[in-house]
Amino acid sequence: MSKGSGKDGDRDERDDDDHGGGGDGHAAVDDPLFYWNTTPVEGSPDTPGKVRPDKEFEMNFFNRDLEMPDGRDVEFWGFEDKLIDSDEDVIRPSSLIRVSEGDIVHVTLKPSKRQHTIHLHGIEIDSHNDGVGHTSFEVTGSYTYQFHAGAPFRALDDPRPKTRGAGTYIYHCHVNTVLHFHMGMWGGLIVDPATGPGTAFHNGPDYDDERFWFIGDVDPTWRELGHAAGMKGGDAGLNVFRPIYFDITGVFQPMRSGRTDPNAVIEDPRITATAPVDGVPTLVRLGNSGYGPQEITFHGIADGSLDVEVIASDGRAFDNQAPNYAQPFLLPPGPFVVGTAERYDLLLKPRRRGTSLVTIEQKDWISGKVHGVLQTTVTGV
Amino acid sequence: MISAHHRERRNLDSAVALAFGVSLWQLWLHSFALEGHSSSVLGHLGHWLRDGSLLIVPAYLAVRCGRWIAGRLGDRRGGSGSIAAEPAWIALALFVALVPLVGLHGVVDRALGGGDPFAELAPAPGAGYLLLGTDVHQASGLVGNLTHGLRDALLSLPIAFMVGLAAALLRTRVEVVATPVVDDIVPASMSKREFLKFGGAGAAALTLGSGGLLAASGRQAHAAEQARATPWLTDDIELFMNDGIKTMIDGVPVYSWGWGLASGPVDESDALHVPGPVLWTYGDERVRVGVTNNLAEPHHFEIEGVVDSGPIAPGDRVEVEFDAPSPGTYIYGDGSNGPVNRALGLHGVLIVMPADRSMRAHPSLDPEHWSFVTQWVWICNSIDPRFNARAHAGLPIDPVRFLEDFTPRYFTLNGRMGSIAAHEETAPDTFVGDVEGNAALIRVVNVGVATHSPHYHGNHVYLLLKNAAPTSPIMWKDTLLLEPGDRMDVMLPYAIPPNAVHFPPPQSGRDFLKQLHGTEMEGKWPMHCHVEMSQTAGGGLYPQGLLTDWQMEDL
Repeated sequence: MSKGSGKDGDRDERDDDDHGGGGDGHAAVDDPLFYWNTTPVEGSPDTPGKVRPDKEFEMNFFNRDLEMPDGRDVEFWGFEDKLIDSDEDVIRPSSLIRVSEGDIVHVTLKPSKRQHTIHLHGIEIDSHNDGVGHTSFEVTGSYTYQFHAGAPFRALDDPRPKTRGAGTYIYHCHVNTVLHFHMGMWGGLIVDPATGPGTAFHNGPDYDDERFWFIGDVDPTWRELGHAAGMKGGDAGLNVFRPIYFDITGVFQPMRSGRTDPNAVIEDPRITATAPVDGVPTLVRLGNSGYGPQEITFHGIADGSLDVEVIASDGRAFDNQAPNYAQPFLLPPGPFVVGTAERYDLLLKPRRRGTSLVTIEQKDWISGKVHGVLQTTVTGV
Repeated sequence: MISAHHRERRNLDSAVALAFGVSLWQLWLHSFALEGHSSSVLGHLGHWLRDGSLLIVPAYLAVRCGRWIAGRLGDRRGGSGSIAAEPAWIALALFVALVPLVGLHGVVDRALGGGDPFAELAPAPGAGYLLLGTDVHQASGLVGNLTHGLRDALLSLPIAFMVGLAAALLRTRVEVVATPVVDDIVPASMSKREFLKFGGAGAAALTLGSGGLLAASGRQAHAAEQARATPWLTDDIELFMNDGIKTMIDGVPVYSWGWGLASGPVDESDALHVPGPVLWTYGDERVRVGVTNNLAEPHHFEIEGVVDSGPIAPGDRVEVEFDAPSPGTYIYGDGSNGPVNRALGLHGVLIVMPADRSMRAHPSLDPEHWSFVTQWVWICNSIDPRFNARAHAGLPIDPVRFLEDFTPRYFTLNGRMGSIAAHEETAPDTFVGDVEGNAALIRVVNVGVATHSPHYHGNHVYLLLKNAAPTSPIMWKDTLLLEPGDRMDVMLPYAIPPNAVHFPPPQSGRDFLKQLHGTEMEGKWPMHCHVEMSQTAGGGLYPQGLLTDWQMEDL
């Protein structure tokens, strides 16, 4: 590992540097403390205590263009799992990491030209594998992140709740996170109980069908910025976020005259959910991968056609293990607010046949104004 | 020197009351009850005034000494038993001082010669014989004077105690202790390990009476140590609404409103603390805070739903008094212009601990599961310097426009940013350090206008209280949704991260750290806001925004 300080303002995989790189004449910062965080260690160290894995992933960096609903091509960065044999390019979101409780998991990062990391968001792990530059290192060549999925939490004699950790997580790059996360360097991370998919968590409810609803937003102006924009001083404009494109797990809300069309409905079968009336419910893994609060409204709750039960959040089951500790609850009518990087696991339980709308409003983190509206459906069959 | 002045005046008041109280008692004893010294009314009065005046200095020393001892014992006048402790120690200190002084009294009398009104007449046989069988004034020499001193000092003990007790009872009992938030780069005056000694093993010394709270956290133990290092007991606080320039992490100067404070040994009345000091009290106490507005326009002192001072004119001081609200975390400050005055710096946090003095966020929480060892306050804010400049120029700021136009360029945690906020040396009140298993209660507060998503690496946290109300159900989160004005009291369990791969699995935090140190890493994880724009400063400079670190230490 070496101390790196020679980052330039390049865009990842590109050499032009017209934004965000050099300082623009702010007062010089000569405080040595200032540099504690700005020169993270870089390198390709060995994984400490590396053992044979039960599951392996090899995440390579990519940057690809994707056509937006208004016809414009927009650049995305992300992780593509090279161990999956597929002809189809991964764009948004990045490849899924799906493991079971008890697995030893290896996620090898090959960041290509520039520094990246993988932070396993919600996985409780030692600093060396946490993927944070300023408390560990940034990866240049390659590094294998190792973790033990679903390890029993807390000692047996500890009275606080225990978990095996099945649930919904995300992983993402933690280098210049403000930009890299937004560029698309995140993906889903699902931990199933030891029995595998089909059960939400140990002793938890079963599901037949499942949907990933990671709600995202895209500000195309940030695409003009380089890899290290905003890391060297100077104003890269990364405090101003004005998204215009919105998606549920890579499927974008249709647009009309430069804005999302609030009356349009995403009808892609990968997103729309169906669930049987009085049958095994459908699990929705809901996550906020945007930069601002999101209000989700299941209109079927208000008209009595749908029950939505919240059974877990942030990879922690609501299993009532300790006094006052979380139990599953039904969503009341009206909007349910999900903050950035939060996840909720929802069971869809239709009370009668028919389709109801789900509306998601992506709000500004300060003014509360609605940047865009997404819609999809839940159908009882 | 406001606070010293305040403190000093209280000591002087007590000393004067004590001096004249005791000398009056002595005069009565000597003139009527014991020896029966006789004199004119004027003579008695003169004698009283003289002895009282002479006694002020020793009484003052006794007051400071007594308060110091009471403070040393960690007796913070919490329960009903402890209110007597301070007067008792003062009386005892005065007793020690009086033994030689009464002997001196005879010398003074003799030196002044028998002239009226200052001289006593020759002592006549009187009731004094009933007490010790002899008129001790007749005695001379060391033994005689000491015997006299011992007798009179003993007789003074109850009256000194009663005077002290009366003063203590009369004083409004305010249990607000200031924890000054260190908001500039200052070296910590104690190492974290020293703080923790008070949080852990050293707590025994502090948990007498109501001292349990003082042991609650490193920071608070630090404040307690400050209070105990000098013979003051903090029982009231003066706040000052001030203004000045804060330097952002990229060197840009920004005008800000904020707070000075004076409390106990702390005199920072001219300072600019943003946020203001953390105030803390118990659920069954009455709180009194003096607030002086040193700004150019009227401001309120308000705790939403609890108290509102109404407008405080520039230069005015008001006293705000209220019963402590239900246990939890509250924002104090100026809420009179929407979020504007709060976000521009007039904010701070009030902590209310359960009346039973337990180490819980709320009395409804089961103590076996939800007790904590240390507690911390993390105050999130954001700064758009354009509005600060407007305030500097004295221009009005419309709260609606403020919300619409607010484009923050700096994001602060307890007033600090980025690497400054993430190191123990520069941020001893936000950087959390403790050993494995010591649950930390972290009160996360949003005083700004941006919605934040505090995200914890390393451990999930239990969300115990939201806006001073117990949550039901208690969720176990790695990311919180913290909207403007929200206060979330979460517990960080300080568990060995269970998903780390170690063979054999570590049996203790020390085991875990030993294995981790083999990789040249520390057991250190960030907390940062996941609405990542908040990780920038001046539009760039990732990661110099709203973040800090927590560390598992090997003590």
